[in-house]
Amino acid sequence: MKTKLRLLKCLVIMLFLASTLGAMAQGPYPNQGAQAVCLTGVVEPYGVINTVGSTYAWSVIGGATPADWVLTSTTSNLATVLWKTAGTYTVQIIETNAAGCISAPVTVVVTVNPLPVVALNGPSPVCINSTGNVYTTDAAMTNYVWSVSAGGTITAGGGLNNNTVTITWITATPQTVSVNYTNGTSCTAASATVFNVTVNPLPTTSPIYHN
Amino acid sequence: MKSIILLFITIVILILFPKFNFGQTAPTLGATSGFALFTATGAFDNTGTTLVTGDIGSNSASVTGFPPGSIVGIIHASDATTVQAASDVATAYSDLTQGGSVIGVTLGNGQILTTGVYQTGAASTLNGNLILDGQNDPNALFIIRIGGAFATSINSTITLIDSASLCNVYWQIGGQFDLNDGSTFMGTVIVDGAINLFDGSTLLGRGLSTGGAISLYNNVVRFLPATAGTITGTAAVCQGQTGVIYTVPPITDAAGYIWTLPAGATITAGANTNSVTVTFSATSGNIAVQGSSSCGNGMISANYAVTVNPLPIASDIYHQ
Repeated sequence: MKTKLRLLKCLVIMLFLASTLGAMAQGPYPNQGAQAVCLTGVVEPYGVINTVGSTYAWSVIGGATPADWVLTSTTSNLATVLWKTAGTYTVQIIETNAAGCISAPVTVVVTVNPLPVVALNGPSPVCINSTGNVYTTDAAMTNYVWSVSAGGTITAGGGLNNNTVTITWITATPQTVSVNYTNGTSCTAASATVFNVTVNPLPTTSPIYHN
Repeated sequence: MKSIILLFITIVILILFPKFNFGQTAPTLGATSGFALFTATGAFDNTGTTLVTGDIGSNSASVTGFPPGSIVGIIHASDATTVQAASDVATAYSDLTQGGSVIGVTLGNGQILTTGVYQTGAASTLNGNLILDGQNDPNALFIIRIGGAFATSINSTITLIDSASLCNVYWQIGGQFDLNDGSTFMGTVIVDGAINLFDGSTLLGRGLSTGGAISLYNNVVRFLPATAGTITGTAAVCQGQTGVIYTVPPITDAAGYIWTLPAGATITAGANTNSVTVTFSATSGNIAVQGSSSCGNGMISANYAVTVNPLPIASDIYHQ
């Protein structure tokens, strides 16, 4: 009986602890501190932990609106920003509480990185079944994503870590090879760069006629 | 050698006491300094709506007539304080026996006296206005010795000019003192006899008797600045807020203003005036003020409570 009571007490305490931890203030978004974003054209959300009765004034320091950024929404403790020009900016909030007292400004530095312009070069036109057609994109990037149309066979490269792909074209119809990657600032182009390849058939030489 | 030592001692004394005045010294009031009206021996009566600021009392009788009279201070009657005051008023009276220039027995009528000791040598009167000229020295001391009874005519006055302070005016009166109807008198009056303040007269100073009845009638008697009025200002401020103004109506007879602020708050402008500019720290508390003069400090105002609200601390900015 005593053991059961102890167990029950323990359970109650654990439940209490769990509920306390659960009630601790959580940020509206997962990350804090300096932020690097890519110039994706997607609005970025920002927020502070809400205090009941407080009002919040959001601002962006650096650049100019609307050329470089647009504070697309400010709703109490939450705001969204559309970044439009690469650069370094500061997002700032000032809180005024129910008593009319004003906080020191709280800021976060946001570095807006441009998207990469993915180069892609290689031979075209090529002859069907010719080998060793090497297509090359920018080196020293990560997460290369290659795509080759159905008329090509990859003979080398083309992996996540390769900035080249070697293709044997086996169908004499218009083909494509495309690539995208993630650059040093973790930005990826909005869409892969597509390179069109013309594959010519081999000449069909008539039989050799003779007397 | 001896003369050199004597010279040296003399120089040191002169340096240590640069304002030492060989001609006149203020009396030591001792326990009487807190009294507006006191008699070592005698009745103490009031008629009408007399208003006294300061303590009152007799060392031989109870005080009557309060109310209808009102007092900001303590009424003493034959207690330990009056015993001491009775001794001290005699000392103060004898302190004032300092010789002095002889002046006529009819004072006033526009007469001007500058700092010094004066004596009439006989019973005297005050008619019209007597002017005490401080000659821009706020410490200018006036000792006027009346060699007998002293009476004023109706509506007679004393005017202080050029920094003269009622706290530095002393009267030694060798007989009864009669302040006639509607008169305004200034200074600490130490009387060897009765003190009679007639209808509507005002004594800005103290009335102290070594022996004699005190009789009041619709008077105002005070030597300290009046009680401070109501403070106005901002009741709720923010931590660290600057430029917050608090004001009290001008206090009668105050030469300065002593402000009490919540911990950490400081006055950035208007110190010693009736309107101060305050910078707050983080602590809530009361503001109070009292008038000050060289006679002492007036009654402190009611507390004005100020809530100092902490500043909000916004969380870090969160983002994706």
